[in-house]
Amino acid sequence: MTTTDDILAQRDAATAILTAKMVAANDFMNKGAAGMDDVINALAAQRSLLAAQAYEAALDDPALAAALAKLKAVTKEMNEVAKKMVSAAAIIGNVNGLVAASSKVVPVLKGLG
Amino acid sequence: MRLSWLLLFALAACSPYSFSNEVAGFSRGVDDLSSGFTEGFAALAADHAATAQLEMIESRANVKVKRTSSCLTPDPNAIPCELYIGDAEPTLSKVEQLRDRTMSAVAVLRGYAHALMAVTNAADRAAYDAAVTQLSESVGALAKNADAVAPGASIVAPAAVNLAGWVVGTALDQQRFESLKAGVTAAGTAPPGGKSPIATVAQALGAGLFALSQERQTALIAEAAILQRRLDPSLSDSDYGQRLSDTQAVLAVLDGVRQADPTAAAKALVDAHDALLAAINDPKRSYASLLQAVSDFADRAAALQAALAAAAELEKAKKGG
Repeated sequence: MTTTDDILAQRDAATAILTAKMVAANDFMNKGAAGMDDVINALAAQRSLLAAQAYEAALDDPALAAALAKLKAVTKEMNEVAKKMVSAAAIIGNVNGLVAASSKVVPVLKGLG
Repeated sequence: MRLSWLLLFALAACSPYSFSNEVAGFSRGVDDLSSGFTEGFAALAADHAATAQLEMIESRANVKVKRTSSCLTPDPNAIPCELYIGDAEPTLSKVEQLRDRTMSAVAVLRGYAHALMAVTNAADRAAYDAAVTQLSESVGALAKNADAVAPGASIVAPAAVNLAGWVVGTALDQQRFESLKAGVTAAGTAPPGGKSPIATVAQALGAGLFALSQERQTALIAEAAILQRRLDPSLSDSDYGQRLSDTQAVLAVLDGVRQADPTAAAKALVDAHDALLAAINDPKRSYASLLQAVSDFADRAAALQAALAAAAELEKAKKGG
């Protein structure tokens, strides 16, 4: 598997975590929980940023071989935060942590991490 | 002399497949992906404008004109001159900043697909010679683009791509076939342990289409959320119905973008090209697979193009009704 394949696989793994939490937030919103609009918008924006950054990485493949291990570690950290987001209050309480964890993907994809 | 006649007879007897319909189908698919990008960026700008307008109508607070970045100064970054609310002037999103690089990759792919078509459709020697030159240049551009993304992706140096032209005494059908074979082989052959130039460029294109799709989904989710908030039970039936229609229109566009799969479309492009390469090398065994692969690619590309280009018309919402 090439580096670009790895990068895009990590993009998909991170995207799946964010998407799962968007779905959970939407479920809570439909049950009347407040503040979920902002959560969904924040997670969607983060998802877009990751996709765009992974795209740039796919265009600049050579610089990224060393970043893969870091990328996998960040995805693992995202998973750990996401596991805590099981209630409306926990989603609100942890969304910034999830966005912060996923934000670490961006410098890695830029080759700065 | 006798040997030459025998050779010509043998070449004519080969009666190579022209592949013109299949190459045309492949080229249409590439054109659809290209349109999906250009129209998708335009639709994304419209999404952002519609969402901003809804936010302004909703908040009715402190609407500002962009001054520093675009409205009053020459703008090298092509940031549109528009109104905004909040503390910071909006800037182009990441995927919008990558638009030019995306379009150059798309242009390389289109040039290659069109050159394949020119070769298969060449009706005389002059047209054929021009088409071979076009194909040589486009395969070189494809290899160059692939090498920029993944060094070593091309098995030949871009400058060395030279797909031999007319050989005196050879039938046009055979000439077209040989050039098509040489071009498709150069674009579709991977170095050891790597990807072919066409696969490398298509993968980057797929990642770009994915990013554009995600960005549109983000904008449409925000737009739908505002519209949903405006569904006030105290509205008249007419106004409530109109706002409901607006919300449904945005969700319909969102659903189309969500369901179209950019990664699968890019993979289908590579599969169709691989099938073309296989069929050129063994038409009798691989032709049915080629038809299926080209059809699959064309369908996916058309669906993606339609989804990315779709825009919701919200007349009532824009009027603040």
